[in-house]
Amino acid sequence: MGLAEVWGVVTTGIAGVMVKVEVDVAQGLPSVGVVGLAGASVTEARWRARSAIGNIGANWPAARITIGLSPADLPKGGTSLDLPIAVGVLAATSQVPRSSLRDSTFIGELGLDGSVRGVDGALAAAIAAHRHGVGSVFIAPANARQVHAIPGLRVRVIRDLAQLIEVLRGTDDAPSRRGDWSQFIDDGADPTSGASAHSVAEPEFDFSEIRGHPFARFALEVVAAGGHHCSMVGPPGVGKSMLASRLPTILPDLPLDIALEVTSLASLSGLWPTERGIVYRPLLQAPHHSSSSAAILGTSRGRQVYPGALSLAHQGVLFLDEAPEFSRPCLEGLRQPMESGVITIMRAAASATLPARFQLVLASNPCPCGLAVGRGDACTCSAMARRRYAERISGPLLDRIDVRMTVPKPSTADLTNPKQEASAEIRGRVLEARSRAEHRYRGEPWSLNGHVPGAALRQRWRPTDEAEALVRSLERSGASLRGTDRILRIAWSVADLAGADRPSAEHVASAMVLRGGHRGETT
Amino acid sequence: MRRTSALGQYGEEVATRHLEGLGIAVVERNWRCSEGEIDIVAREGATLVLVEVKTRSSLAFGHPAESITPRKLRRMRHLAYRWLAEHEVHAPSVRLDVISVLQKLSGAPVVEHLRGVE
Repeated sequence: MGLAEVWGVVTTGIAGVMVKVEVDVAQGLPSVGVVGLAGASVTEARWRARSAIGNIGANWPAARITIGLSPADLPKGGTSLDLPIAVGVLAATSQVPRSSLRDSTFIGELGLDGSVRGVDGALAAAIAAHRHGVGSVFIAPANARQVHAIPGLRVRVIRDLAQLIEVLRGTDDAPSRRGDWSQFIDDGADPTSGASAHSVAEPEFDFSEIRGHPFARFALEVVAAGGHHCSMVGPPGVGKSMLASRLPTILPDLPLDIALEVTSLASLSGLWPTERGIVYRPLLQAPHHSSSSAAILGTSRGRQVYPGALSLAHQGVLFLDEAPEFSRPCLEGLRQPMESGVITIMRAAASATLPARFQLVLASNPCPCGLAVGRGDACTCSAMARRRYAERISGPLLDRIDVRMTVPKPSTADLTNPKQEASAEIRGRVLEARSRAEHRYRGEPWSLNGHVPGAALRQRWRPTDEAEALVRSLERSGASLRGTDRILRIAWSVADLAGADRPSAEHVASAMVLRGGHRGETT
Repeated sequence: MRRTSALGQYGEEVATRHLEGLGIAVVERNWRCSEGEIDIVAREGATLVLVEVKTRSSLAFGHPAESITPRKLRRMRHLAYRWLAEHEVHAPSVRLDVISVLQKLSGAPVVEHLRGVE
């Protein structure tokens, strides 16, 4: 008979919330009640805990057990509270010392045999526990790869409840180790540990596999360096998807905090099994054009929030192939996150703001039949059909896209060219360009050319006089202010890649070409 | 069946002695009506105590008290009203108790008394 308190964590959205699990074992008819807005999976935890405790030879008390979950007004789901509930019962009945629970948090699902299983939200949960300032976190082996990446967190991995009892009694030492990001990366590269801890979802693409397309290669390098959104137009089969799917390979590794954020998102969606560890390379999301707006933008079922493709592409690439075929709500829904870098999903039962700072790549054919290239002699589309097709990408969306390139059919000479530059080399240059920009924008809320507001761009950082004159002449010839802003942004990226301090007239000229224009738009 | 009821009777005997040891007066045993049976009716001060006795010879099928379900409790409460209706006893309060008796093959019986189980 007694009372015990144990810390657990539940996840809501991608954030973990600390939950105090109180277990009261009192005299009365044997029963187990759970109070505190427990969802179905949480009330079932009592049966898992009871079987697990019985099957490892410990004692489940024949008494009236009340399990209280606080904060009591927060709806709780998931199975991560199995472990704290079982530990609470053991402590309340003095099978483990209560003092051993102070300063610890328990995250895990229980098997009926007493084994401790991983949960999907373990990373977010462990981060919450770390912020809460707990001493150590007990987790399942399946979650170890992810949770070990949190710097400074004391992590103890336990196989099963029997081992946990030994550890809490002080008769067993569970391997305890402080989370360390760099050590984690090294561990991941260890070939003996099987699959790499941070392998990316896609099979490894590389730019060396692409023959020809010198212009598109350069354009994507600029896009990667400046974090620009881009669109590609070209006839079917020239390699637009091939090019786009290789953009993530030339983006730099994700820094720790962002990697943890992206991993939490990917785990939440079920896209990334917890055993795979941390997502530390930018992800590519390439949803099919028949996808619903819920799949692209995110949705919720009950209180559970499901991130859409644009959140999964956070700090990565969202590639929309056949962009004009996407539904209007999908395309227009992208606009606001493109500005703010977040998306707020609001439903009657839940609302959550998820990160969504993705790089957008649109690909489309020049017309419905796809043959309106060059002089367009082979094209069978009517002028009206062509126009309607192009108009499906709305002006406001197109307006947020910096680089608009045309991808032509590669020439035979291009195709017979020897192997081309590999992604790693390009990534090296992108990294250098980005660090230049970062240095320039230090102290500002942005660090990439693609994110600099127009006003700041015009006033604070000036190109060379010649370049300035070129921009002026553009404005005189009728280019909009916003259009010239875009050209300036691209010009900075070109200059950063070239290692120049300021964009020269030549860089601005390159930017004008990259800015392009698919359907006779004025810049 | 005979063995079970013999064990049951033995358990009720043990429970009665346990109650008397506590100074709780047993009023009636094995009171039956058309709707069921009350194992022991007792009085503790002004409180009328209705006791369900569960006897087991091992824990293989769980703790004796675990077999008391909410449905069984409802029936006990109903039986309490029936008993009061048929007797000229005025009790300001009524309580339901469960006494579990565990009698292993050898050794003394283990008695657990759960008071006020509702």
